[in-house]
Amino acid sequence: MERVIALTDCNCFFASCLVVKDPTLAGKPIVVAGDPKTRRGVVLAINYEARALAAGQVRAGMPVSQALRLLPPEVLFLPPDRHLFEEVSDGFLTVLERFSPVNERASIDEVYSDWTGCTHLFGGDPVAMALKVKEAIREEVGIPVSVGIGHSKVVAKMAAELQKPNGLILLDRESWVRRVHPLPVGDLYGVGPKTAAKLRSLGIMTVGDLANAHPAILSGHFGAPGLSAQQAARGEDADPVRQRKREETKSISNETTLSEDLTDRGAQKKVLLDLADHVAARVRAHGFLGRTVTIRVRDPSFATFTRAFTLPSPTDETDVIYRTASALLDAHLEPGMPVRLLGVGVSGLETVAPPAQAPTQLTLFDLFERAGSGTKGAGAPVSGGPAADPKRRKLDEAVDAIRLKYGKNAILRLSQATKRR
Amino acid sequence: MKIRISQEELSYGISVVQRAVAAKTTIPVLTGIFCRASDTGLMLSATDHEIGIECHLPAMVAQSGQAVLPAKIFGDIVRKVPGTDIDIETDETNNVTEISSQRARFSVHGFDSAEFPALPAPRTEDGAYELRLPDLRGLINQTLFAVSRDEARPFLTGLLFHAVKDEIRFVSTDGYRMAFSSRQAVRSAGDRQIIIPGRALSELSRILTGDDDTSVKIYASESQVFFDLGRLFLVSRLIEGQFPNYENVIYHQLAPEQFKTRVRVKTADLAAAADRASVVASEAGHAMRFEIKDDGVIVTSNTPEVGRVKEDLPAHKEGDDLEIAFQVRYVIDGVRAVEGDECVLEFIGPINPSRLKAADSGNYIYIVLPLRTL
Repeated sequence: MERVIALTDCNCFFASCLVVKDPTLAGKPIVVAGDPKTRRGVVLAINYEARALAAGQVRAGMPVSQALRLLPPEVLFLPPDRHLFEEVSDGFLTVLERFSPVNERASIDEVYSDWTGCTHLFGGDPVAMALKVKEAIREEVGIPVSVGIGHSKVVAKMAAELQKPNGLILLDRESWVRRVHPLPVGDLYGVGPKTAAKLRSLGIMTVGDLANAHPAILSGHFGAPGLSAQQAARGEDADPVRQRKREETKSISNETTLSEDLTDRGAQKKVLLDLADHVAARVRAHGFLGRTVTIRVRDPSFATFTRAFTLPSPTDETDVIYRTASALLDAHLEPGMPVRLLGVGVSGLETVAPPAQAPTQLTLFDLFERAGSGTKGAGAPVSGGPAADPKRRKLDEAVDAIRLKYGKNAILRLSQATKRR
Repeated sequence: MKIRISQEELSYGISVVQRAVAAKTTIPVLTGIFCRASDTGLMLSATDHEIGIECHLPAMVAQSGQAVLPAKIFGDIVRKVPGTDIDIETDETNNVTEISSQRARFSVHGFDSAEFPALPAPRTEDGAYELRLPDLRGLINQTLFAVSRDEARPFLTGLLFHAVKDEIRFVSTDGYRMAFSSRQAVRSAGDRQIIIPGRALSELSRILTGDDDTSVKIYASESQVFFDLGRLFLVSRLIEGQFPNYENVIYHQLAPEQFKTRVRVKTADLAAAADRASVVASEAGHAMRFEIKDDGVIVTSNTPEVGRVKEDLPAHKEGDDLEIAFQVRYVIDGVRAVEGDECVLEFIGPINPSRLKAADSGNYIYIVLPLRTL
């Protein structure tokens, strides 16, 4: 049976998310970027309204200072909101999962779905199904998406690229040749600028030229990747939609490039708390316990290091993960050193066993504290694993439940509640 | 420098000081072994700025002088030379050292010996504690294993050395268990608390050799501790920080009368049972369970994917019945350090600290926290 693969792509994802949060922004030109006041950071996303004002000169990845010069003052420069973005991304994946069982998140704003055999519910018409999906996402999540449909991932991807924003295109084999083959070869997904230049020097100017080139020329110049590029040009891509399995998760981590370098230890720790909170919630959501906590630190010169500590018993607690990360930072980063990026990760994951099989090691730290000495020096104890205090676990469970119902920012620790940077 | 020395002596000396050679350093000279020939023989030393070791060897010295030789090459050469005697001659103008023995003749490029840092020496007013060698060995063996490896809390990566009158106590804890050991000093230099890095004592225990009546002198300055073993000398920096108030924990919060259940077992039986439990509980976190009743103690361990073990441990029990579980590694470590044929396990409750000590002596106390198994 011919496969039916769909790619759902959120156009101008970051900007759309901000509109979801603040509907008064709708229709206004928006650039999502690092804080423009500091003239640092890069452009992460530009919505179509802003693109129109800059005649296509402003691109994601451009320094904010440059974008500021190119764009008129009415363009709004807004900071990214990582929690919001992931919340929206999770939201639209959830909608897609209702329509079909096999979905692969290719990036924060793109999901491949295998609709083979699922279209019967919509009269066997993938376009009708896609319309329902778009409507559901628009209604429930509040963002416009483009859907591309084809018989392989590359076709779906190219179909989604053809019409943006808010597009819907199905490419069959005939329309693939008609619409994609005339495109410049560099437009083909997976062909980068360098490969494209080399292909052009061989007289291969369009996707169609690549599809019809002699395989020996391609393998001679590019080896096996040349042949897979030709397969892609022909719309053939055997790669299945890969539903990510839980067992494959080896670690769960989050990192963030700070919108400005942070020197103050308190401010750095606030970021760690945010990250730890987020990572711990994901660990819990997956039903994992993690044994090793890792921090990643990058300084303004881009020098990056990671440090890890392995706990005596595995944990899924925000508090334990945060305190471990925080102690690692104290132990390995001199006070007063600026950081550009911070990350927190948990690895050594195991699935939660029934309580009787998941014993937790109790600690002496309470006794030490009562004895009035010792452990205060490096901050609170780096954990005795989960729970000398089952209240902490209950707290985490309650917080997760509230967030599930009311959104990820519905409940925060007090130190997280102050306006973010 | 020009000397003749026995291959055996030199090989021993190198193996001793090599433990202090810097493994990771940006200072090249610290990857070398410092040699100084004088009227008293040959002195070798090495340091990585954390610890330093010095070793004095008998040698025939034709010309005094000094050299710094790359540790690994020096060691390899000395191990491989054909003869029982080795001649060493250094040209101090270009730091090239000739090492020859019978027909083999090596020429080695060394470092400038003037760059090598002198090991600090104790000032005489620091005062010496003096311990019999077996006592020092006992103190280390009964506590070193419980030192924390958590660098986030550096003061727990060391052992507390606590001199109280004529008694020397070593205490270590990683937050999950605490080991306490005490011995009578031959001589004391007054009450004192210092934190010695675990690594220094681990290196010291490797080089502690000698008769039981040898004694070791220990000096402590503000920032360093010195162990003088006669021909060997080890110096280590001290760890700053406040060690947990173990006296409050051991003597007040966990005073002996708190423990409601006492079990007396043969040390060897408990050690063997723990060892067997470790076969199926090898994974960290997996428990060794004690079911303590009037008619004896049942020890079990169960890892669902692996299997289970159960055995009756002959024991004499006093007090309440109890079920409690520990990390098997913590039991193995603790019982291995017991000196004495019989030991006593004492319990407060299933989620409270427990105690292990020898039945007939109070000089070793091991506090271990159980696993909460719900």
